[in-house]
Amino acid sequence: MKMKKSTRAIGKEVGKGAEAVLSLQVFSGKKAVCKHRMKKEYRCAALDESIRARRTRNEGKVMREAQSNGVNTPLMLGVDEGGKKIFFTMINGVVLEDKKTVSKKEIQECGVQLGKLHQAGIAHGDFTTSNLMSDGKNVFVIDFGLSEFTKKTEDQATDFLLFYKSVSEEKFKDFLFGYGKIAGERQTKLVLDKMRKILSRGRNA
Amino acid sequence: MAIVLGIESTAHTLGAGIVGRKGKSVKILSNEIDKFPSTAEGFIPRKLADHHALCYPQVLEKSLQTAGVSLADIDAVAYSQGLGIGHCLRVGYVAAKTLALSLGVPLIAVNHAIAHAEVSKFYTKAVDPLIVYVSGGNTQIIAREKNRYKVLGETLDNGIGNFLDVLGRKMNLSPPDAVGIMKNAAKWRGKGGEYIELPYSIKGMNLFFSGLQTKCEQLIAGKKHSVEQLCYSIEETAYSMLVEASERALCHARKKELIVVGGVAQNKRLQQMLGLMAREQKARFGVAPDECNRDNGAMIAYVGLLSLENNCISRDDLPKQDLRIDEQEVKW
Repeated sequence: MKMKKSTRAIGKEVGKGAEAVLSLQVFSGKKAVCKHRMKKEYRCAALDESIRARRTRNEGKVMREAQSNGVNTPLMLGVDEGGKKIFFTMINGVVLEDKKTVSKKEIQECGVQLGKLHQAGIAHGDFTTSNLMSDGKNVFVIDFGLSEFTKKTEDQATDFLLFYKSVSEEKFKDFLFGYGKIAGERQTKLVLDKMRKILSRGRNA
Repeated sequence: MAIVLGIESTAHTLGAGIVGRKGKSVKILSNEIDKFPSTAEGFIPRKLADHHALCYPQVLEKSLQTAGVSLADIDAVAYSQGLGIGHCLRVGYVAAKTLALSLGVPLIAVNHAIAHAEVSKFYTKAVDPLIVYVSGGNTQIIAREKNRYKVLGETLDNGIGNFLDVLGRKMNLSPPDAVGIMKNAAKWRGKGGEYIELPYSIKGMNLFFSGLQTKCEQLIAGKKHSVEQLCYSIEETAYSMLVEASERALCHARKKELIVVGGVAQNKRLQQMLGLMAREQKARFGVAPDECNRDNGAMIAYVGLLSLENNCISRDDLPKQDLRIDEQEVKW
């Protein structure tokens, strides 16, 4: 999901992810990014409607909670549940997946942000480098479409696992360092052990 | 012309296929199989192994006849090293090794998952696709990264085929497996019947089927819904999860081609759903003919041929039950 610095016109598509289109819109007189969960042709209508409504509603709730706990995210402006739309502020940055080089500090910061999320009782659900953005100064967490309110180690370990799979071993260590700064050594080890357990019970792992 | 015989015996199917290359063109000359029928008791490894051992001579003979070649023409024997069921793998291993020794040709151990991927790439002419590998025991979303196939997402508990087979047996369908579910689901879909909402568990590009399975077992025991409606809802839910994870992987890995491989890839509804998703993401969708998606010997022979030509024949040829696709270097 790309969001680039832009002065493009209202209504213009600024990014497209797997499940939603991002476009520039006006919300309460302010310029905003609108994330619209489109209909998926491949899913049967009843299932599609239920998934999109649930995720839009949930994403709004989670973003608000994350923000009030000091996690860097786009600022949530409003939710249009019926239209399957959610509005938030624009971030002038690049997703880490697209960056040629990602600094050690940025990777550590990913750990810090996830640590804060988990402390707020939120598991992200899709914590990969495609859903982390950097504006050069700060790292932002985006796309809370699969997030859940949960403090279960299992769910936190799933976030670890997704990040682990999207970076190198070395970078994952930097990430753990950042996470440890917020969650503490004991908690980090607990989640890490659980992640290894999940990996080992995967098929033929 | 280089001719390779491939023996497949990872699970319920014993297959013998022959592939040949003449200049630039590769041809599948024959692809014979004998499948152990699914029964209400499921698959028992010992019985599968007995079946494979008994039908091997006939399947091999038929394969040679169809291809119009004799044993003396064979340049290498490839066999499916894993992943698979231990008992079954050993039958294929011993059969292939003995044959290779008696003919004085190399034995090539082939990774079963790589074989599914490669033969489908061959048929669909895809160059660098996202690969959705779905069969009884496997549910993986795979992409090539340098010299390896990398698993981007996978099931964290059951394989999708096993999940469907188990429910098929619980409902006493005919046949008591995923095919029975498919038939009943198609009837309900044809009537435009309603969908029952079921647990939908996807984490990023990974999937879980155990929660869905438990819920389905409860609903089956509850007997409130018709079998057709249940089958329809089970298929729609499981395949939607799979397609959604694939869509995410397609975007994440920035691939422009999508193929679906493995036994479950024969399901027409799944093919339709993946095709629709690919169209939305402006990717090309392809699927090989059914005889190459079910377990078969030709795909093993095909990768055997690639291995022979690229000089990557592993010395360690023992069967491996838990061989993963990402464990092996791919040199072509």
